[in-house]
Amino acid sequence: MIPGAFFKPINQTIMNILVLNCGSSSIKYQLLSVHGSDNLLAKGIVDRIGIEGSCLLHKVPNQEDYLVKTDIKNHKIGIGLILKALTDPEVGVLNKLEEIEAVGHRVAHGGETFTEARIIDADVKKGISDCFELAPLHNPANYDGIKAMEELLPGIPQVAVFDTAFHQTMTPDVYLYSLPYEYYERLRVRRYGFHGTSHKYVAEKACKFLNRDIKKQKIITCHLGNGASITAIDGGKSIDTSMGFTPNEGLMMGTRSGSIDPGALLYIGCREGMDSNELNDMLNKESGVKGISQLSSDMRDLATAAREGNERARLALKMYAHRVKQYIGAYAAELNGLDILVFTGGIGENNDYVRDLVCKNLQYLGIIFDDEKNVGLHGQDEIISLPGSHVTVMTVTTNEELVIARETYELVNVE
Amino acid sequence: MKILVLNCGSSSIKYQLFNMTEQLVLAKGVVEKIGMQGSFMKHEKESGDKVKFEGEILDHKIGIEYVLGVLTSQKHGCIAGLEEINAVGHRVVHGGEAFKGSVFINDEVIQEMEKCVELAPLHNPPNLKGIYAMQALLPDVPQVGVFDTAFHQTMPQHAFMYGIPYALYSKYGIRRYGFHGTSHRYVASRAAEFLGLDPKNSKIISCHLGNGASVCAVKNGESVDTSMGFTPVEGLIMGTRSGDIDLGAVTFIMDKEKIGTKSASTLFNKHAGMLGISGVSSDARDIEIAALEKGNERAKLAMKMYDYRVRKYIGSYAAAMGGIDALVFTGGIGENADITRSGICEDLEFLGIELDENLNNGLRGKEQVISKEGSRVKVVVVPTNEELMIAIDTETIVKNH
Repeated sequence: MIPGAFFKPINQTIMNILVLNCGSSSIKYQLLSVHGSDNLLAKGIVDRIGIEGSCLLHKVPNQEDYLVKTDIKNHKIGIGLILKALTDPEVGVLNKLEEIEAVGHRVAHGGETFTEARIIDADVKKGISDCFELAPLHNPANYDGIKAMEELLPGIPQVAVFDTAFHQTMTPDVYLYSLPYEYYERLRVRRYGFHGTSHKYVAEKACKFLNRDIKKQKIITCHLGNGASITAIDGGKSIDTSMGFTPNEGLMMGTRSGSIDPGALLYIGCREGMDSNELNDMLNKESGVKGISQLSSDMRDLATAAREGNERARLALKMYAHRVKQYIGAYAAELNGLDILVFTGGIGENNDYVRDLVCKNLQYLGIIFDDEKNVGLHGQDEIISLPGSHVTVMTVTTNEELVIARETYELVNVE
Repeated sequence: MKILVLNCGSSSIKYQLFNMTEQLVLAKGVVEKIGMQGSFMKHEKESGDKVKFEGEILDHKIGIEYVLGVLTSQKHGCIAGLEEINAVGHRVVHGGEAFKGSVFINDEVIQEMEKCVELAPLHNPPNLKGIYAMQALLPDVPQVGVFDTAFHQTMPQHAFMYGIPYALYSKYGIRRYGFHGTSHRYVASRAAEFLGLDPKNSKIISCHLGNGASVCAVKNGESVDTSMGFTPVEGLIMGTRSGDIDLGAVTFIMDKEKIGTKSASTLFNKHAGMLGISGVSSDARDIEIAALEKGNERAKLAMKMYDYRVRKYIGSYAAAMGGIDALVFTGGIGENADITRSGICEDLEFLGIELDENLNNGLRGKEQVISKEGSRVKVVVVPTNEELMIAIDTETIVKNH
């Protein structure tokens, strides 16, 4: 099953796994040694691929950052630079490339084809390219990353981990939009949902922390980061999620609007003479808390400004929290109960102001919030509800790269 | 006091004449297909006698002339002369941010209403036509405007703003307005009365499910959130409207099908909703028959999706208000479709909602509690009566003017 007997895991119990997250003009990478204690060996980012000012920023724990500014035309060249940095005598962490034993790729869209992570073969590659239409900014870049690795390290086992896979357990009444049915049949328009890897991970992590059987829990996970989405999880399965056909459904985000009246969208298009591309750009890049506050897309900046009395910042944060709160209510109704509420992602893990706004006044759901514990709580796995609270509220740190590395390990080590 | 209530649509006029002493309807009717072939008028007296007139009705003014004629006619009328009409109440769809309640119509008000036409280019113009016509035909009779949007003007900013560049709100007034306001206001208040709730200290969720459908969160007597938005397309799945949908899906479809904003608007307003999913009909009864008697899978799916969307809004508004005391069903479907009410209330025990199937089954068009005795949240059916609400507002405003 492992493509290319050329590469055998050097040590059956520990593997060095390179995780790649290829965006349209960037590549984020992490090199991890997995199993036993998982260690981050190095990480970094190749930025502005194909644009002016491209660079590689390489970070090794306990060492100085290493920055290379050079023309990087495409993903293959970018990955070439990453591999070079990893084996560099001065800033590298490996003696030779063969020490990389497997590669895990974050793939944005798996359509209805992929319900779990997969070892990449010709079928999987075809499946990924079939989804180009559904994620035109992301899947082609993910695909480029896979091809580049095939060429640079022939035969190395590669795994694709899909953002959408965890949500493939939704039922039709949940994932269909109320449109002429043919748009689903012909154009595959339906709710897919994203951040699947993260939602799955933090739900499992929370249950482990609380020593509970996930099969018996009703969980709502709030991944609040640059993108933000909420998932309802019943017995360990995703039954609904707030992002949809694209990531711009549901919550208001840093620069994304989240759900708005389709009639309003068309009205704007008409009055401003904007076509579908321009509307998309406006909704994805100029909206969200940035569009309301006209100040920043960064929630920390806004929390500070709000505390200092900036009205627009306050409004943006209130709107943000209001929508999160509404989804929690909607999903608690859908689950017909709630055991665990999880906050994760950059904002969920670190922004006490937002968590407080969201959890206020939810006693009717059985949430008794621990205001004191919440204040200043950063980047921890911690309970932020009081002992008497029927619903356990937690912050849980997410780590998509680690999850991808572990899923890669599981699949490659199956023999 | 006798009050005439007018509801002017693009090619129709619905009317009711009220005797306010007993809040009784003296006569009611509809003029249809104004300006088209085959226009007609249907009129019904208090006694229940009905009559239909066919004939050319070219515009709203002529339509209203007919209405006034019938009301005072020997054979079919119920008043001796037009001087018996003390006031006229007009249903106006969109009041923008200018109108937070019902108003006495004067020149200033008309000017403001004309500004709102931009927000509702299909609906407000006929409402205005009705007002101009009455001004011309009965110049001395006071007129009052009652707005679909006014009740929702109490929503807080964080509920009515959209997450789009702030400038679009300042420039075009793009924000959530909400509709069915008169209906939500009426049924929430009736429910509170009926259930002995203190209107100033209550959390009521009102579901107006008709051709159009919307949910409203009424906290302490005021609307604090509602599912329709800038337009009536947002929120619930309706007969032919999509309700909520990923905007990325909207632009994707526009791109793929090479359609512009006008065609897209038609798609999401007229070809989507229950009709789009089921492929059967936009009518709830047709869909129910197809699903339950003919086993049509897509019709079943449409019903499931419909119920599911309403349920999510109930959960969402309970969170927004910090709880829920009463759930109200109204509108053609809300008042009459026991299967839909049952589907919506299924598996909501966590919220405290427990429907009593015996009370619910077969209940049509009556004010009644349909929750179990022990249910923490009271579930009620309250038939809506927007016309009566308009008449009451008209009477109040005219008396205080």
